[in-house]
Amino acid sequence: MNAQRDKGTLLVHLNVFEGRLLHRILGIIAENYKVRPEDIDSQTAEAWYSARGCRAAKMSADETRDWLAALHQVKQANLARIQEWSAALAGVKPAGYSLRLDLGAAEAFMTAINDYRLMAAARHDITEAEMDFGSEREVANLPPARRAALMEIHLLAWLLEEILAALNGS
Amino acid sequence: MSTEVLPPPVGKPLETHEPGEKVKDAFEKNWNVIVWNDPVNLMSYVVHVFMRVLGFNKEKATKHMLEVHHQGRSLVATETRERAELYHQQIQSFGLSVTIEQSS
Repeated sequence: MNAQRDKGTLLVHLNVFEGRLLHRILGIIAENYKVRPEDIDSQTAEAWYSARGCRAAKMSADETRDWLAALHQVKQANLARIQEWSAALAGVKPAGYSLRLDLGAAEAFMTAINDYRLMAAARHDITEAEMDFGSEREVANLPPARRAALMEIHLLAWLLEEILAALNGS
Repeated sequence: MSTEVLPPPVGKPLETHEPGEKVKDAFEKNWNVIVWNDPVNLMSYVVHVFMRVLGFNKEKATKHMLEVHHQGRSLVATETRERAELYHQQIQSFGLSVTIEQSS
């Protein structure tokens, strides 16, 4: 996996496994971006649509609802692009995948994969303790679903780091 | 840079009655924007968000990111209510944990 700037775009190279995984992840993100804050599962709601800040600002229930709806609109505005990226990674390509993003869209891409990390952590109760695991044995002791979530979170972290490094020219 | 749609601020109306007070409150920079630590967001990503939303340079963004990381929170801006609400929504749209509160 690596990301680089190329003629005013961001080019992300993925091997077969990474490409298949990212295809699935972008599909899950797209499906969940369609769901309204009041209808999404409570773990994802807490990760994406926390009303903690609204309570601290003493917003009324109506104001909080409007505020969350506006936040949902921001996610929905990126839905078409996410579906387009997911489609670009469809099918098995033994030689691997190349995903080309406009630089202006790189931020929406990063936000989407970061949203997946937050959602996976919330749904599988991945806390600081699991994030700080330092040995394979600790990871292996997790139930399979939590282990898979933790691995996805770290893999997407690597992708985020690659993209940020490419954007910053380092 | 990004073509991302940024939301309009939504918030509570000012709780004052006198026109003069309303104007004063609207322009008074007494709302703190606080970013909280979480175990998932990457330090490099938090720096990026601070630069993107708050216009910090890398050094300032890194200083506030380290405050979040080591102290659990960082006061990243003190602004008018309207501007604080805008930052609140923009920062949360990037997935960071953020609150705003009126300073005493």
